[in-house]
Amino acid sequence: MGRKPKTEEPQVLNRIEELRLAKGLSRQELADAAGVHYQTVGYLERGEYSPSLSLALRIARVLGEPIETMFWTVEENSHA
Amino acid sequence: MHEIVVIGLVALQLALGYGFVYPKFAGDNQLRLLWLDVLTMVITLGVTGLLYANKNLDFSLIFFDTEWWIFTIAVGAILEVPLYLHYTRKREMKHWNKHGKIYWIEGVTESEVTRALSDTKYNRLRTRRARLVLVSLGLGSVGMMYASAFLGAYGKLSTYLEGIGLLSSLVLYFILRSSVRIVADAPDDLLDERQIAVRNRAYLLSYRTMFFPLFGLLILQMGNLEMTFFADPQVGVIDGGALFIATAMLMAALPSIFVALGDKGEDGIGLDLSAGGNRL
Repeated sequence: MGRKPKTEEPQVLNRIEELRLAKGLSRQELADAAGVHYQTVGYLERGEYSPSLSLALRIARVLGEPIETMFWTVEENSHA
Repeated sequence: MHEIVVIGLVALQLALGYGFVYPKFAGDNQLRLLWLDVLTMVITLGVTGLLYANKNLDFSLIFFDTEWWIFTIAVGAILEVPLYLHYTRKREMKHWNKHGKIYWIEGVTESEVTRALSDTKYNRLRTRRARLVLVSLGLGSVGMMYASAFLGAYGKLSTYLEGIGLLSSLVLYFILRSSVRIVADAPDDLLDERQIAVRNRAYLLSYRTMFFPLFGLLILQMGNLEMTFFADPQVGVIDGGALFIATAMLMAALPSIFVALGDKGEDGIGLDLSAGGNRL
């Protein structure tokens, strides 16, 4: 059984921007705390890049939110 | 005979360098050693140029004949390796200095990459439009070098085309590198996971793209056309040296080109070069 083509993979959405703004953090500050480049935070917030589990956990820790309430897929969204 | 003179000049340069100049002015600073080495090599090239430029002499590098400046650089590189290794071992230089770690394989320093990643000074070079212009001009310069290989019949035009193409592609290569924040050449340690993915994707695309110029060169070889390497251009003869340099430049620049096309610039616009998904 192979991996699904990327086009068939559900897009991962998140609340990073909302939580970051609520915490009063700039992209640069969040990027520094999570150990990534500030452009990567932009990619994550726009849903254009799906983070690894390790990065997702780091961001969740910085923003003080459980990971499961921060990330979800488009499929889950439509089922909700 | 002229080969012996150049070997003697290079030996003198290295003896003065490693015997006096480097211990006194570079000590155990790698970067300073590197710059002083470039400087002494430029001086040696200047002297050999004064002696042999425009003399139409071939210098034998065992397998093929070449021009004075290539011979000088090649002899310098061959003679210098053992001296350099001895110098750095004797001083227990661990390739670290005040400018941070040097990544020899990638050809970058830690501070250079760190600075490029956080730099905002050259953001005008990092917009989608600027990157497209840089990529187009760079490919045009490489194209000029390729074209010069087939224009031996036009003598000076071929030489000028090759020279201008080489110079402009080198300059554009460094500007493009800066435009993509050296992501294409940076080691894993200094990039985040998305940048590593972007870089790796760029290398995959570069590897696949290189098939085309290499296949073209193979076709030329199969055509049994007459080809020279690093000799004066002649009518009806393909300049293999120009083809080689153009292909090498293309190979060096392609990863940065694909990063430039695929990664979003400071204006948030970029092409999706991924295999159809939402990430590179």
